[in-house]
Amino acid sequence: MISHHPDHNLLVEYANGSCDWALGILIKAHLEHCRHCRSNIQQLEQVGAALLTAGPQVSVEDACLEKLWQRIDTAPQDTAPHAAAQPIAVMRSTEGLPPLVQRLKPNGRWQKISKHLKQLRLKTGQNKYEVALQSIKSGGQVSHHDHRGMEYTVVLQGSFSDAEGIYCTGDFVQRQPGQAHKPTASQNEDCLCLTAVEQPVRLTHWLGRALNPFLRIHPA
Amino acid sequence: MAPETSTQAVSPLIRSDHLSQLLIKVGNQDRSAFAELFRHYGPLIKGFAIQHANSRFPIEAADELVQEVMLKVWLKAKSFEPSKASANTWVFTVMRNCRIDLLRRSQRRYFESSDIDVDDIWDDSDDHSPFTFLHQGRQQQQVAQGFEQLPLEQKQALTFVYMHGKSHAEIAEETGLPLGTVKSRVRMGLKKLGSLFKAGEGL
Repeated sequence: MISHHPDHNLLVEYANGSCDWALGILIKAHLEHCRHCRSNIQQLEQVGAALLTAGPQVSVEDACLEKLWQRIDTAPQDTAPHAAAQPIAVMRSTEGLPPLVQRLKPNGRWQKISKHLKQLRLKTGQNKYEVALQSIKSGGQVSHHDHRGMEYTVVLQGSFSDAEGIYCTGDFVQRQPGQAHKPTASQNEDCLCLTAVEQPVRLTHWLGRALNPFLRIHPA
Repeated sequence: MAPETSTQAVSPLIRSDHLSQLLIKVGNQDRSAFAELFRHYGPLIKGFAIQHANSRFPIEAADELVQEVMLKVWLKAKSFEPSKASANTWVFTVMRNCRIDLLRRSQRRYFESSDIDVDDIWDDSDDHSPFTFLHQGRQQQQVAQGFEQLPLEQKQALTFVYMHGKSHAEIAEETGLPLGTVKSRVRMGLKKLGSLFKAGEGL
């Protein structure tokens, strides 16, 4: 059951095509699971269609259509089919993952961040957010941390919780600076998340604080 | 009022308005149907491009945008499913994706480094909820009329969002309005338009 969704403004930006590329990827991953948001997006697209068709009209010369026929006659008739999805290296199973996520290429290897947390950075073709897969061991905890910029998370497998709630497969979680938390995976299975962060996290533990100046993100 | 639509079986033919018929024909490579669609949507796309020209999409590029969008319409018409979207909504999404794609192409190094393209992120091919669209033709008319009746500030905010393809933050920056004000104007405007959807939705 999905109970956490992108905020309405983010859905509007997705529907009109203005949201950041990386966030588009996360929203799409959420939409694969969420009929409610798909229906919202469809409505927002209908608004766009209504505004387009109610707008002013400016006549187009016949030459424009002639030129287009030339392009059509020389263009390949089919858009090239996608290459088969390559399973992401070191993933035990890509089964059930959104097709789009399966198509993302790793940017490096899985890295062990702490006892319970592994991270695989991904290449998405943009430079604003570090997009990565985070794998938390069942029952495992992630260090308590705050955020220096926005952090977006979509749960792909399993579930995790923090002081504010429980997040299950498909849930979309937004955290902003000041919303510190300590995510903990559920006991029964590992939790896999797709995340996008604008800035490195800020560790709050006294030992972690010493590391903060050295934390970097790698948008790609 | 009983929603008469929710209990009826949904036939693909239910979206059989003229533009949808033309799109289906274009899917079968019908050139005269395409010419008719071009004459209908070309001036709308051009009007859009000229009205909202900026440094990224100058007025001179209006004909090009018409060509790009209509080329995609020709290539993708096969995937148009009248049970899932009205012709207008489908063309709007094609135009939106063209705009995203053109912007990305101008940032070449990202464009070339990516294995995914705009249609991977912005598509709805996996959706199977046709009943949302039952009354779309009528709804769109209502939405267009409703839009005209919105307070000017909400109208402007929605125009920025949809027509200029701007994010809320970009609008706030350009207009000098607080981000919260922009967000609430967009939200209020959509809420008013959204209530027009509820009548025929049956959800």
